[in-house]
Amino acid sequence: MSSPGSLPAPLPVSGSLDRLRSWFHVRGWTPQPFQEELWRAWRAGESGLLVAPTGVGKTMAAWGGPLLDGLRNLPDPHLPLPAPGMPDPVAGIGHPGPAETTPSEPLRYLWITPLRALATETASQLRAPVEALGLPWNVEVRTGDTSSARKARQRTRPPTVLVTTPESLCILLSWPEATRRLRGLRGVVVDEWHELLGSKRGIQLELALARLRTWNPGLRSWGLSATLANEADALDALLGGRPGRVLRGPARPPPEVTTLLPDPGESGRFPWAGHLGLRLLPGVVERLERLGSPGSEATGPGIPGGSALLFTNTRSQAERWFEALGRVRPDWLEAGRLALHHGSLDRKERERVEAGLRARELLCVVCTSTLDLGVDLPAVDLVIQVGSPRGVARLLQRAGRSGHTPEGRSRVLGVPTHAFEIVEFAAARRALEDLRVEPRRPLDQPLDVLAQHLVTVALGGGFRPDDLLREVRSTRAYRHLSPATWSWVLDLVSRGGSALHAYVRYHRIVEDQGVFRVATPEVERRHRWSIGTISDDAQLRVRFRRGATLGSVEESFLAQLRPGDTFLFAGRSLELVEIRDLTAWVRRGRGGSARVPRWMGGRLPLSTELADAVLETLERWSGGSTAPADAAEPEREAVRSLLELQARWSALPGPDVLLVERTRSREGHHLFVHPFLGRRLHEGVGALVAHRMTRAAPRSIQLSVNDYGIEFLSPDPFPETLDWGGLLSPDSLLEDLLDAVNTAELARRQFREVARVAGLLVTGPGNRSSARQLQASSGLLFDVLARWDPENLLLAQARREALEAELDLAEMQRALERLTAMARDHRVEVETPRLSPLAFPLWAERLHARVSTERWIDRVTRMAASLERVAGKGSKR
Amino acid sequence: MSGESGAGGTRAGGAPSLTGTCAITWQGESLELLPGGGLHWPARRTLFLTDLHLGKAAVFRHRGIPVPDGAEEHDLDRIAGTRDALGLETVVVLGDLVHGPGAWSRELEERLERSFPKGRVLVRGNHDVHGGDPPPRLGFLVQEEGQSAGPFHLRHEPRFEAGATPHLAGHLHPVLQLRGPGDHLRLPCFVVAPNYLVLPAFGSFTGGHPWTRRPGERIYLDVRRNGEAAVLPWP
Repeated sequence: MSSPGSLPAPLPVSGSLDRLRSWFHVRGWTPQPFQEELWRAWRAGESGLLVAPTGVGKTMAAWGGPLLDGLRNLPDPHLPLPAPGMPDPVAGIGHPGPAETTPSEPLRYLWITPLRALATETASQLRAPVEALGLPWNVEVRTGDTSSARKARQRTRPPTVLVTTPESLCILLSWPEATRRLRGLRGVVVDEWHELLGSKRGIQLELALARLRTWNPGLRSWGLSATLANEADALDALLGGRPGRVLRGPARPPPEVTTLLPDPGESGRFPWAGHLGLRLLPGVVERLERLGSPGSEATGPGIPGGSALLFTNTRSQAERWFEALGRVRPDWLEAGRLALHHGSLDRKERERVEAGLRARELLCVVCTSTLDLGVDLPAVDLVIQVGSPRGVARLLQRAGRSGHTPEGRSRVLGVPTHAFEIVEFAAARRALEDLRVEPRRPLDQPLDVLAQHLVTVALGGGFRPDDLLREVRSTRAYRHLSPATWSWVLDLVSRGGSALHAYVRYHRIVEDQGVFRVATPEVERRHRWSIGTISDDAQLRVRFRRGATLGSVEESFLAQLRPGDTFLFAGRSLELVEIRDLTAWVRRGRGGSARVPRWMGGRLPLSTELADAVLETLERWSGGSTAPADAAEPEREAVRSLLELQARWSALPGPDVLLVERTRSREGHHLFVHPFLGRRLHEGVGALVAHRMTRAAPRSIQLSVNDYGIEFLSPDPFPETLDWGGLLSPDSLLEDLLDAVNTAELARRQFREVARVAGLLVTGPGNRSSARQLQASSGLLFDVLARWDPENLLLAQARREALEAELDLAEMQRALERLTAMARDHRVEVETPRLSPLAFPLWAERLHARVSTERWIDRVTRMAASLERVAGKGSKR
Repeated sequence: MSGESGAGGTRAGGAPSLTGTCAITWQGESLELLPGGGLHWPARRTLFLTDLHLGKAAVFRHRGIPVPDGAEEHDLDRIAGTRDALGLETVVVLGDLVHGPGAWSRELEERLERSFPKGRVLVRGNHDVHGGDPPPRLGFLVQEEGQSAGPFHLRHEPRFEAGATPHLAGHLHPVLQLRGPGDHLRLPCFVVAPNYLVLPAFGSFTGGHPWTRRPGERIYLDVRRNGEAAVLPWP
């Protein structure tokens, strides 16, 4: 058994273990086998990854190891044991005083959490056993929200246990005394590792962990993760290729997914976004009413009524649903039982809502991904998902907000906003039963993060390039980092760029006798400030002319409004008065039709896993359509007429079938392809195919995509036979794509984040003139670099990220290989007399981009009605 | 804006000119809006420019942000090219010749000496206040805002009140945002109104601020695409 060398002779294991077990027992818990297994692994000096769903005891599984370390090291073995059945185990039992005043140890344990909102809650969870077991430790929090006085105190007198975020950890690494302070570290726990994996913050943490391991080769690190498709990648990224093991917690039963189905005939056969959305409002209200009445659906005793979270996919949808619910049940609104929670609202307002949920005062909170994770809340009784769940992992995470106990089954009510989403919920249920969740792919050597890290390390005592290169290469992200690329990044932060271009008078980090350090205090200050702002969009505050701040909205939305326009925000109708000082000044709106902000990021594509599940479901349902509806899948009946019509007018797509439809209309010649790859991949595939078609024979093609398919519209007829093998070929993909898509513009947009992380964009506190002189937009910097230093690798990174993030090149390559095979072997190409149910939403989508919302609703309704008439005639025949 | 023609005859005998320019009459004077952001006054062989922000990249680099050189040299070369093509005698900079403290250097002085005509006027802009006046040996006439040149007053910051004396100005880096389906363009522009004319920033390493058109303004877009450049009136 290996234990860190600095430990004194340990007490017999049983003694400490018994005490920890006793602490569990007095709380009414029993340590579970997976928890004790992790404690043993910790004791043996092992590292690894614990994969388990929310609410099964991951925190205590990871925390038990350090607690046992601590118990074994207690100087006084006669500390009283907490006896079973003691009324208040959390109060310091027989302990001489609050642990916080007598820290006797240096910083021993780091607990990394992805969200600062989670830090305080986590710290008190960790503190409870520390105090009850009488460990002389103090547990503190350090995030961007921590006061500067406390931060300063932590710098001189670090706590024993620090709960912090990746950014704040990097700030610790940037202090000159970092080595001394962090050398005594015994273990690191990374909470919600799956959330960090696949992001630049995850890479930032990989680099930080490599640093810590250089100082403490025996450092134990454990990641806690929700269910994950690629555990090996996650483990590898966490441990930088060192040996470790994966432990799995108990499986929870998959969530119970039911779909709120429209009345027969209501769903229609021609779905489009937003059609069903609010029509299902009465059904949702009715469920909430049942939930709210005492005793009926609520779980525990003494609870006046249940509570629900209503998740939407976008903030605008959240605003709409909140407004609609408040209109139908003004009494709920007045009684404060209805609330709204999304990322643009003021933090105080959000905290008020969270407190309301904890106090179980709220019946329903309409929310977005802000409540997916990160905020510690008691379990609700029901989770309502409005609109497509988009991904299996996402639905699983949201479902986890209900029925938190290890035995409790989560309950989700799916509210489709168009008819095909009915299929999606059925498909998601199947995928959840098989635990087919999406992988989170770690990023590969982002140079902006590396540049930032070099400056951090230069601040934290300086570095020798050869040593640091070895350390950096020990991470998964940079394991293939070439010497040339390393030199380039080193040049970027020390000389400005490649030697071919002029970067005279450049100072950021400078070499002194082989050691690289930061050049000036100003660079130092600015760097620390910028570490925490890895990604942030330009936001304007929304504020009443006299008084309260309501939250913030992306600048791009407000730019579309003129003073006097009304918009819906924070559940209110607001009139824009003016935009001044980075603030949108508003007053209460006076009726009229209000616009709803269309925030960015609202267009998350359908995941490949869920799209595949949808195709499988369609295939399952299309076989033997005369059989009685499967009782487990009531959704089937709801979309039966739609699918029958699709089959009658065209054909049904399936996992191995590529459906192509051709139609003529007054608008021209339509070609609909339905690969079911999700919106993002369709954009790429669509642009590629359109480009290849026009290259073969010049013509004008309009493109429109949704999560299921692609529409090509041309005034001229498409050739009788199209060479699908060639059009969908994965050969020369990158080359053709670069011609087809305005990648320069995509890269220019992507450069914003790259420039910020690499320290080219100055974001600083206040508006001091010294900072103002360093203002330049990322677009301008991109142009300047592209023109005067075109080989700059940050540009290449922005291009690569744009291709990966916007078009998902690797995924597209795989998809095209599959599609080419399908197009060859299982292509169904049909001439349809009119828009099929699958083609209709694509048509509507294209129209939406061109006309006003009112005219759009009008035209779409008329078109749907006329198609329904034709469909009705057909079925009578 | 009367139609007095004070500058007749400069075109006679193959007089120098550039392509892509846009001729206007303003305050009775014939003027040319030049692609890339200059205002040419043929009658006085004078070029008005604004917001060069020279030394900006150096200010960035000095403070730890790696921005390459190149924009500054390019901008000064454009001035030299225009000087030679049009036979300029004077360049009037309507403020923000340099970006800020640390912008002036021996190298910049030499580059500037090589590319400007002999007549040099600077209307001090807010950045010049911090960055410092050009060294005396460069021979600049440095003025505060509000001095006049012929019928125009020269300012850095434009004034929009109704009674303002007709003036040329810069400072605002006007750009017009054009949105099409799936496309988004930001083009620098000249803003011409009865009593003010705002020039776009001449410096290549300068940003732009979206312009909201006021009543009575005409906008001329400075279009630079694929190596071609032209000033075009916007309807």
